Amino acid sequence: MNSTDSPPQERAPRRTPRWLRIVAWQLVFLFVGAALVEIGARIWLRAHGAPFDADKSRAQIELLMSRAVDLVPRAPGTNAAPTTPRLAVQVPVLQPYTGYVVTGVVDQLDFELKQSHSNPDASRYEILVVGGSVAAMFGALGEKHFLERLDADPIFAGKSIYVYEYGMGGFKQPQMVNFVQYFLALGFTPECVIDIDGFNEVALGNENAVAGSNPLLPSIGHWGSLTNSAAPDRETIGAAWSGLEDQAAIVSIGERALRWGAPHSAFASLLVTRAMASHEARAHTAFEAYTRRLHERASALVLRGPTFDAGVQAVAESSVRCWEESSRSLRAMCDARGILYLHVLQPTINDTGSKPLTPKEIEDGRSPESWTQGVHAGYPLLRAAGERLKLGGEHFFDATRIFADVHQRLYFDDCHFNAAGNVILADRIADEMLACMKARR
Amino acid sequence: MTTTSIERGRRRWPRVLLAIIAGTLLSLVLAESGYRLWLRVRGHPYDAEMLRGEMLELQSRARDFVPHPAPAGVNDVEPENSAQRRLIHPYMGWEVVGSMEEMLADWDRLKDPKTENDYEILLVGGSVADVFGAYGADRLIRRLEADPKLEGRHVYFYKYARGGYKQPQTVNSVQYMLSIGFKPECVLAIDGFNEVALANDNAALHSSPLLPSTMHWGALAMNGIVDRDCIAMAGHIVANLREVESFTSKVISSGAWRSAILGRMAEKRLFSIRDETAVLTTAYYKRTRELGGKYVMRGPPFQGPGMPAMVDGVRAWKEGSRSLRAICEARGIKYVHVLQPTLHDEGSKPVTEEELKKGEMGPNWTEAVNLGYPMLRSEGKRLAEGGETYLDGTQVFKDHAETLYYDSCHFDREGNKIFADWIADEMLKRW
Repeated sequence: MNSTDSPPQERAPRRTPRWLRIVAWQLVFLFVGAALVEIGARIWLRAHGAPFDADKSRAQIELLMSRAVDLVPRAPGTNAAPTTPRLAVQVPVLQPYTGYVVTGVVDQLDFELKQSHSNPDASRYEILVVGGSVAAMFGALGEKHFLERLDADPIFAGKSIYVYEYGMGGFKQPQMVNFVQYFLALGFTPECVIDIDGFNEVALGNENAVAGSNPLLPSIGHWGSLTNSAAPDRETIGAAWSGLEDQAAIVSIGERALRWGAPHSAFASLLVTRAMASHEARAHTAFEAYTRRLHERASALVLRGPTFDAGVQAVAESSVRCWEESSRSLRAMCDARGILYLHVLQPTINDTGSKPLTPKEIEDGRSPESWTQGVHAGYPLLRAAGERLKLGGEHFFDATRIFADVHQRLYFDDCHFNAAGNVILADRIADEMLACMKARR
Repeated sequence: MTTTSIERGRRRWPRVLLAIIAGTLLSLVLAESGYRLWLRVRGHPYDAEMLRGEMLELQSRARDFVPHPAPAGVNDVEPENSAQRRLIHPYMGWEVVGSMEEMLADWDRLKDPKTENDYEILLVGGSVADVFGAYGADRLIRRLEADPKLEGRHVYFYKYARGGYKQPQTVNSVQYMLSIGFKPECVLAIDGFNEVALANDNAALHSSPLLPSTMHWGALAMNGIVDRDCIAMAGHIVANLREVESFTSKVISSGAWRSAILGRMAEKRLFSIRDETAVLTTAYYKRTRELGGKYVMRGPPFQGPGMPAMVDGVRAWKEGSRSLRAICEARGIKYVHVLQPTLHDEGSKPVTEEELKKGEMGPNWTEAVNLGYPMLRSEGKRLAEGGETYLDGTQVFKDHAETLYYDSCHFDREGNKIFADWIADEMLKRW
């Protein structure tokens, strides 16, 4: 048959393959379904009085990320550039007088020490702020307003004010008193020391006790990992040394065996491998002993600390005694140098009656049980001890009720408050400080 | 050979053997006597007892955190004394294991109503204060208790001085004790040497003079051993120290120390191990310091060694004392601050030949004493003018020509007795 003579065949209309149509329909359903779920969720949220806010959601995610890597979490809305964990300034490192500091503080001390040596300005009024993470956040979120308040007062007319911000996440007494001593020994000469503390002493002190560590040691969550293997002794070094000797023997036997052609002989090979295996087993045992000994010694000797009375109330009493004694010392050290010392007992969300809490604050403010117990047992004791300090002449400011009439949301987690909260705190601290300065005149 | 000559030979051999033995013994005696004679002619007569004491001290130095003077060296401390092992501490940099038991015992005492009327003295400072706790505190207690000013009260010492501590470790340790609940009537701080000598050592190792002594703290801060080189160095050091302990024990128990020849041979070998250990130890500290990097082991910026390190060390000493005084006065606690004497502080003591030999010091410490002690005295004077009970103890051995120091900074029982009497006099004068 000649193909040119045959009539042209009518082509059947091309149909989309069936499987493609199925995929397309699935995609349509998926998109429509997702859209419906999203719309439904938004309607449900709105109906429950909490309409969706993309910015808030982003802030929450950022906060969660920050809490995962930072020692002091960044408050929502602050535009601090995210740092990679390796470069973060909040990586804790061992410090001999405070247990730990963060790398950023080491850099900050470097910078401020060089600055004070190269450009000593005698007329500058220097304020050193110490305490835990609330003090650290006060530096970031409340300091601007605090300085505006001080600058506006005639007492500071013609003076520049500089704030040394050394609040450090997790710090509790006696870390602050030791840090101030170190700061003075380095040659700094502040005119004023403000210590904002109280929460960590009772919350982290109780957490320590629950973990089997003395409440007077630094927060075990912050410090423990830096010291887990920090109690070597001669036996420990001996164990590591034995392991290394066995490893060196394995290498030496192996090299000689190869040089002498031992692998060509089944028997020689057997002997050599047995000898090497024996050394390997001994090295393994030595390294196991080394690790175990380090761990046991660190747990028993470093992380436990001196014997202490257990129980929430007894632990709170120990923690508050330490807080009170440390503040007495800080005041004495400051008085001896003519430095104004202002001691602020910080407010906290779980201190009953300290603030009308919003639903969001209640939701965000869930604490570990040990913290809540510590606050409930410890805050009344802190207030009573603060009164004693005040009666003794200390400039003690009980700030635990400064949010008592504030109905808006301030706390964004179980102890930290946002910029608005810090402005309120800054106002009250400025009031107290100016009053102290005027009284001293 | 005939039978007779064989028999004669057989009869002769015991005499030959005897002659050989006698000859050997005689030559040994002659060698020993000749060597002793030669040493005497050279002006260094052999003193077996002195060598024995030296060995005990070397043994103590190889084993103990705070070395003990002979003859206490071997008798009152067990080998590898676990109580003296160091461990990391969050507020003082390090502590010794024994402090746990010490604190436990003192904690029980705090709760005992029978001790309420006791006059409690908290002793703080470095190793000189620690040794004073062992050999001088009893004397001071007797002197104070005998004085009518104390009205028959029993005196008790809380001994919390630690070898190698320097300011601000001392002020931190007092604050820690007060935080725990201790309520002493008096704080006695004996310090000064470490603040300049160990500060200078730190600077030479590129660590801030204000950090704790790198030699005491660095290994702990870096988890002791951080890489194979460090482990190898530490292993060699430990092996050497054990060799010193074992060798000195053998020499002493075998009586070899009685022989001038054997004694001197042993001494030479021990000195050789000691010198090798010193080199290894410096290398080990240098290595841990390097691995410790900027954030842990370097500390804030500083200059030195030399004068800038002295300025830092003396400032820390002065500021530490100002704070200690303030902390004490705020609680009605009497504060007594003693600047300790030291062997190489020019004019502080007629130094004996024995002291010179035992008190050899490295260049960092020599520089620190020469530069730092005049500064400490001058700042101490200012502290006293400001109202502090400050006692300059640097001249306390000025008129003592006998041997008191058993190394470059520690003095023996007799020295501590003199020191205790002087402190008692000064305290009672100011009571």
